[in-house]
Amino acid sequence: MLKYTLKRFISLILTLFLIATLTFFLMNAVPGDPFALDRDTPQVIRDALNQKYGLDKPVFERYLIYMGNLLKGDFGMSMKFKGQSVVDKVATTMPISAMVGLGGVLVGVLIGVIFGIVAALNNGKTFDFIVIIAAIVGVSIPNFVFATLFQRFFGVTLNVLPVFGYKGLLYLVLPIFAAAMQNIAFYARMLRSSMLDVMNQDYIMTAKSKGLTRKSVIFRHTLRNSLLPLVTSFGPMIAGVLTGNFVIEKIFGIPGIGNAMIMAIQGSDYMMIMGLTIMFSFITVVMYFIVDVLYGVVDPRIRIS
Amino acid sequence: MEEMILKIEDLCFSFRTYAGEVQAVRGVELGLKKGESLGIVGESGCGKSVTAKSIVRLNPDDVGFYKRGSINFDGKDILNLDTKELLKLRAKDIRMIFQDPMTSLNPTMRVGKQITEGILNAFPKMKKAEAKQIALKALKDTGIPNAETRYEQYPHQFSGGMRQRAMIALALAVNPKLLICDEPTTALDVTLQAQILKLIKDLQEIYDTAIIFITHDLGVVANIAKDIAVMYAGKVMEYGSSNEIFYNCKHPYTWGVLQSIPKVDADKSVPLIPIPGTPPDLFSPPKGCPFAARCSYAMDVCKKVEPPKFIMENKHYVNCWLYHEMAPKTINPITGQEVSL
Amino acid sequence: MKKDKNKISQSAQSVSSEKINVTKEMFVSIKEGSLDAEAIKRPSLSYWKDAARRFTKNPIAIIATVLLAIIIIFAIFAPILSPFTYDENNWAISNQSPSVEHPFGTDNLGRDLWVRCWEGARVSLTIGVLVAFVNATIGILYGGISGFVGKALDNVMMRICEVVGAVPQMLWVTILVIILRPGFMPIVIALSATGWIGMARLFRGQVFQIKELEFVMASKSLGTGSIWIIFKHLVPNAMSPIITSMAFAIPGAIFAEAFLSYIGLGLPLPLASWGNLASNGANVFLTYPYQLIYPSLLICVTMLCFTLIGDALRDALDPRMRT
Repeated sequence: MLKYTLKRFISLILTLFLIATLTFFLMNAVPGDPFALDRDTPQVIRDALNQKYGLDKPVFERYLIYMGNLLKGDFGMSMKFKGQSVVDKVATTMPISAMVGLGGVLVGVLIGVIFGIVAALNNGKTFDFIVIIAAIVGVSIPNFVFATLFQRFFGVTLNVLPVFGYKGLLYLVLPIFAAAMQNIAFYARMLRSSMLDVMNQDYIMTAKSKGLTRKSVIFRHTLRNSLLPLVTSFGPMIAGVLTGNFVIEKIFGIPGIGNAMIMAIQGSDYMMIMGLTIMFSFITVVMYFIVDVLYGVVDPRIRIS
Repeated sequence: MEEMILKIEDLCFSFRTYAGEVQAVRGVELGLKKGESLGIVGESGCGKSVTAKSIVRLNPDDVGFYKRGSINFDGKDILNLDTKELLKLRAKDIRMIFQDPMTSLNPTMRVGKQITEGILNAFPKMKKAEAKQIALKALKDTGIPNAETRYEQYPHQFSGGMRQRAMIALALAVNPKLLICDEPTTALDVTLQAQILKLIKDLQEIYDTAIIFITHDLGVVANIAKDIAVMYAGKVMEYGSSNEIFYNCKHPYTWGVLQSIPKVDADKSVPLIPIPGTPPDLFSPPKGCPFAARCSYAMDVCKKVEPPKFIMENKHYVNCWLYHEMAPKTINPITGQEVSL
Repeated sequence: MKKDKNKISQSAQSVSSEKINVTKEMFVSIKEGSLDAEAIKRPSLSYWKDAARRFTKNPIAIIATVLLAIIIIFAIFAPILSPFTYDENNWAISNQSPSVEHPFGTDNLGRDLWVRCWEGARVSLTIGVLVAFVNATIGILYGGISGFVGKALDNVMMRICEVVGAVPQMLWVTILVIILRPGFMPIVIALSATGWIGMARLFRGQVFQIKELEFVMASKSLGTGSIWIIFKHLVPNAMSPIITSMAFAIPGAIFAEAFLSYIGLGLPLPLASWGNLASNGANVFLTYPYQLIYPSLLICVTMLCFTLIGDALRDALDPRMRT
């Protein structure tokens, strides 16, 4: 187990290093001089930034300085908003993104799983057909469509929920549901086919032959085996939770990490873009790593191999 | 005179498919006495498995339906039993074991728990500890060593043969009146086959259970069944005691089956004779005898009219026109003698 | 209590079979020539023909294909047949609701949205198909080489895949588009450069499977060149998951383009794509809903069609489901 973790950890560090390098050189390939400071920046600040980030030095030296800073935990600073570091920005925006992301996954999984199970139990009947169609359609509708529809319907027409900005948890309800829609469709479909698969298995016949009631068969035998594939899908899903959802944040005006990225892009704040990108990637990769290690804990076959 | 514990009369069971009705069982009649064993032999698709599952109504009830007939077990009319009674029946009185031990046990539940679950279901007032003891005893009875350890293990930690033993333990733990074995040895290799057969036979005597043993392999039932029913295309072609079927069988299909089985003491120069052709499509079953198309003794009447039952002494009966008084003389290839009742 | 479905009434007795009189003449032996009891011999079809047959027998697949064809036809002909062009500004008629003259209404600069939507269709569909093809090509080459050569090269190539794949694709795409400046080709390049990883892994897996089969060994011993072996033997066998992947990749590309528009990196105006139409429409959704509804509808319907076709393809090409 320890060997497995160590191996994955080394892999992790390597990947982070490569990502940071790749991103740095990509960003420096932007035409024009992306890291040139505004002309009206006071000299004192200019000097400070030059010293810290070597902005007046050639690319390769800047690279080394940048990597060195990364190791110290300095991901850079915003060029447009004086004094705001990438780390600060992330610290203020990530929790909000995480809430929306996590909420989207939890709501999606919960509702999706329930619908999928009920559909499988009513296989061939009307409810089943509705769920199948809804699931396929749901997967095909981009989440920004859901987002805008929700805004109009719940915000304007019914006027029950706030649709823009973030002044309290209530403001997160609609974004979470918009983020959840595709998850609901995905998990409903997955659970339905998983249940149907399991219900056809021989051991379900054995359970029935023991005289168990339909309820017992479902709860004690069918369900547990149907939920197995769910666990394997969690990994990628969880990894995406923290990085937030750009589009949903923009539409609902949620000040999350995705929104910060959009602002940086639109404001041509390249230092921030670079810093956020690397931060994003780091978080994603670390999440994958944690999930991998957890798999090792949960599945004894991996531990032993 | 012992009572019949199971009486099946004119059982007809069909499946609704998108293309129409498939008649899987077309008028089967069987009987079984307490503690006795019956073998049902036939090739794939002849309806033997569907017949067996019909006894406890385990066929899928959304696409399958009983067209006709009655099943009587221990005085109860199975087909009209309400759900609660049916479940009690399955829990305590009639148990089944299935073909593939790999897939017949829940992979995510410990083996011991699966057995105990069945026991507690049959005797709801029993204490868990007592049920566990019964389960352990059942495991020991089926020859599984280290029963206590095995009790806590998962199915994938058992070997194939042991899994089948565990299935048998699961079924017999509640001491059912009838045990239905649906091809329990088909998925096992020959040595395991022999072991499991012996085990079932021994346990039958200890537990005094009636047994229905389903297989496509006539050789397998030789030792274990007292009576044998030969099925083909959803009907019983011939029925008799084990001795009668092996040494004095009457139906051309049974002749064909016996001729195609390799025998240990056979003359090596005598070829095995397979039965040519394949079974009929049960969508539109043939009008007359279903075996007519493959039968070397077929007559015109065989294709047009279904043969009636010809009953001999000691309840041996055969559904074949060769035993009609107007039929020409024919030689029975197994006995070498003239065909007669 | 619920009525049990299996209750049959005792009175349902046997149906009387027609009583045919059995006569002596009928006891005549017949030759067993009529072994017609068994299966009608069906002609055995080649794999592709069988797959095509299964696909065409699927009503959902047919409907989806027809819908898609309709959309493509409109995309080709609607802008040609319309009196308006996509970049024709006319402030006098800006923000008009749908009417006979302007079936999809007009936008804030008075441009006809019907034409813009179908122009956008051309752009979005082209991007989708192009990206899918390029991804498949790169994926097959990369995965093929990596899988066939194996060992150290495979290790390194797969490492690269891991690193590139560890970052969410959209992030790479965003950076690439920033560098290359938003535009049609930059978007295609950005999406192509990052989307091949899935296909490469898929194809590499197929290569490994097939490498072990004997006929490839035999072919190798006959001295045929290695790249040729890959293409001739492996590609047809591995094609089915690739084809299915492509069917799913197209809506992915369309959605990605829409996403880029939303964050401001879409096609520059006045060019029209479904993405930037939807993005602009979303901004004014609360006042002029039709400006979002039509592009979104087109996106959704198209994505749905591709998803259904992809599903049907997957089932049709699955060798285990061969009838």
